[in-house]
Amino acid sequence: MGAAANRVWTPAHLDRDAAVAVGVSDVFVDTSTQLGLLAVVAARAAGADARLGRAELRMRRPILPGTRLHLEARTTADHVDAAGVRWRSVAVAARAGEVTHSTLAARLAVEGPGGVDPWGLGPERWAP
Amino acid sequence: MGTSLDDLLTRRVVKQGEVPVNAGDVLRWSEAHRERAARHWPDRTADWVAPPASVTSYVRPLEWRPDREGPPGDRGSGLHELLKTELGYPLGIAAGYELELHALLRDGDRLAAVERIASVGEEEHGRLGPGRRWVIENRVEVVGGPLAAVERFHMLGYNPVHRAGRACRARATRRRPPRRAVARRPVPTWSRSSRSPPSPS
Repeated sequence: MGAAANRVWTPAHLDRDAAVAVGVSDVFVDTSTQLGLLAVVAARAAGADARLGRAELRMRRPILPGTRLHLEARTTADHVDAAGVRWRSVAVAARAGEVTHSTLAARLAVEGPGGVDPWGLGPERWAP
Repeated sequence: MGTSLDDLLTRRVVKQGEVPVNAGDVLRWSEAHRERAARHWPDRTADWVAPPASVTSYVRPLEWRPDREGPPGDRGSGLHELLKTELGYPLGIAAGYELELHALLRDGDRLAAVERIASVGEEEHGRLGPGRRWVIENRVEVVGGPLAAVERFHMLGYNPVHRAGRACRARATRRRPPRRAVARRPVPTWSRSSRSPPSPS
């Protein structure tokens, strides 16, 4: 579903033979879908109405059919920039049992001092 | 016409998105990723915006259209494929991905991107075999408007034929495609390390 929503038609994500040809035992979740899933969790962890500014995804092991992922997020830092925007750092890990498949380090803007709405910021104040 | 590394480093590939930001695709993206924020559900919020992480989907081309012969030429990263060929690495994997977000995406916005090779590292010898790392960057803009995002794919190109010594080379000389040589290994090396798996898109 994620691949279709992201318009990813790379064969290795959709066809087992194509996946085997690139060294993976079955189709595996594409980068965009992983980013989306983990970024949504990061936004929920950051707080109500958080706006994603930056994300760094690391894919350590392929996510294959049948993998039951547990997504865990924790906030790691919080600061207010010179423009008055409050930024929250969130680390997300996608695990299956003890195995970490992917991690995401995200930086999100949340409501700041004085009620600054991150979704109403123009480019002059938006510095992710 | 041949290419060279210097030539590839100066190339810029323009990609025009064919599907504007629209409510239907936003709904389906939010459905697929379990997005709960009301502002990303156009049937719940009149002043909706596309989920920021969905930006790349509006640059990817349609798979088929009546005025084009065959599949789109820019489905993935053409520069990545050219670089693999130029450097002699049959396999390339995504070692990481960065996304920097700027303008919000609203109903009707059309996106375009310019792709370039941002950097190419020196040859290294990792667990996968001899290879080089490079970064493919896409600068995405709203057509006629502001910067929307910058995305960077951190890739590793490598040659698995040299990885496992004689056994692997022997398989290669039996004219098996290099990728098969990797596929026959019981467990990909990156599954035992902090390296990233093949995830090219």
